[in-house]
Amino acid sequence: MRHFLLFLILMLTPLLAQNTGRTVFLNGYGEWVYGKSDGNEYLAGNEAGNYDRTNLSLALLIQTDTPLTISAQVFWANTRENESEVGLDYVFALWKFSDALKFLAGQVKQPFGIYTEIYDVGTARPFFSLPQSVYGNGGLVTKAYRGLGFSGYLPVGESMELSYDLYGGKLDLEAVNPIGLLVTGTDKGSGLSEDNGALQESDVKNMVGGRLVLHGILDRLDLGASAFYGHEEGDEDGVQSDEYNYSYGFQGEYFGNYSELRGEWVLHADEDGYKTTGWYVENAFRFRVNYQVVARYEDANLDEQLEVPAGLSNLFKHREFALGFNYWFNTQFVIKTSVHWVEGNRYALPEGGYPEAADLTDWGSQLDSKTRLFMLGAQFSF
Amino acid sequence: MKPIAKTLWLLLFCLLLPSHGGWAGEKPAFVVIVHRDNPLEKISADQLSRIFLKKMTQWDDGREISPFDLSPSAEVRNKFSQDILRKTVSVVRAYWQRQVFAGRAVPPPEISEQAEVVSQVSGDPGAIAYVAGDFPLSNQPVKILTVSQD
Repeated sequence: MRHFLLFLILMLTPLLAQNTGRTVFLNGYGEWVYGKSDGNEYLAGNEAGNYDRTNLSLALLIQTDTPLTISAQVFWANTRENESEVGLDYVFALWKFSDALKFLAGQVKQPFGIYTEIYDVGTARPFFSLPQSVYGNGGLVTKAYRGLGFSGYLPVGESMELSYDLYGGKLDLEAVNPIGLLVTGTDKGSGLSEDNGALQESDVKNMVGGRLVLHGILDRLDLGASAFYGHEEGDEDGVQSDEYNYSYGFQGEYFGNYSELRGEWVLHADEDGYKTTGWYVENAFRFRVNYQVVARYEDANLDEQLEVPAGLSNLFKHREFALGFNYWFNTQFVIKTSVHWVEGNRYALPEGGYPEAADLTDWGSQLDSKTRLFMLGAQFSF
Repeated sequence: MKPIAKTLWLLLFCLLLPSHGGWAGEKPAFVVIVHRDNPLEKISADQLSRIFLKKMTQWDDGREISPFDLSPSAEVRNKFSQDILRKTVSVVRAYWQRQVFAGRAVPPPEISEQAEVVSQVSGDPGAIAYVAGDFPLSNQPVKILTVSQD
């Protein structure tokens, strides 16, 4: 009921806003994906074949007759486990002083790399899911920050532009945490959750971040860099802790009329010396207007600072090659299919999650480090 | 050939060089129009590109720029997109998806009728649009801008 009311309010907003001197834009996107793997659970797939991943998001943008613009987005998702989630992706106010200086405040999409601001928009990327090595539950980047920011564009030379973002506040980072698992153990079959130490949610406070991107190099090439730095407060055995952590990364993207080539490399580190790196390259080629072939290679590694029992080192690694074929009805509706070859268990795990700590070594030796996955489905936006 | 005759031939050749895809004397594929009170006479292709991608949203006098697009299926839109934005309409629409869902900007309104575009521009001092080169504009309160490639 709560979900229904939330969506109803959003959908009715454009009607309610009529004749108020404001311009209201309602946009949205959604997907349905089928996934089947040869064993482990990964992305939308499991061994039995999963039909349950669907989601819908609605984005509202209200332009007032002043330099103020208000943006908000809510989502409803049905997960692989056939559970419903509803939430607020972002809500923020933007005040435009000029093209070179815009001020933002609220829960704002995090400007980091290529995809953070369009995290779940399927029609804005060649594959169903973003590369997990950078955008998965690895704690490298997140969807939104809460706080204040500045943003702008400056022309550079005849045909290039520099876009920049500077922001500060708080970030919520979420990471699958094999280290936590090894230290504290977990309950059998309890899956990835904060309670059992397998999923770590961090509040990164007093955070500052920024992104610089030079657009239009040789007409179609964008190059950029992003970074953030903040503090995570914790309570370890009754002792208050305050540790810094940071991420930085580099991006490159060529967006031609028929081909796309992009890649990113990101590193996240904390005061304890743990480092996670992730990178990917993806290529898409369109032919006969509607058809597209896509390929991606990605790699992620978590530096091992602990003595890892034999067989468990795969929990720290993710390597994936994916091939796909898409049919675009237009830019707003696409049918996608893809095959993924995965090595490592950082994101691809057996159904049911982690076993008890005492069973870890046995479990590790039985762990299938290779996963094959097939996905088929549709993504759309309006 | 005498130097003067050479010069005349060269001059004639230059006059026949294509302008916006057409030969001299032919109508260009599109013309860029603004409100007649807009002081601008000339605009560069790069400025136009920035305006239609909303990277430049204010005229020199601080007034808000209101660009208007034709519908994606219009041949003139396709030509404008290729020549000025140097992108297919599909790539431009993909660009707008990113802007919209990042909550940063919305695309220019898309209008299917060129007469409606002219009507919008004639009623809005900050407006800018393009119509087919052979679209009748006489007696309309709009001004045609010269587009330079530099």
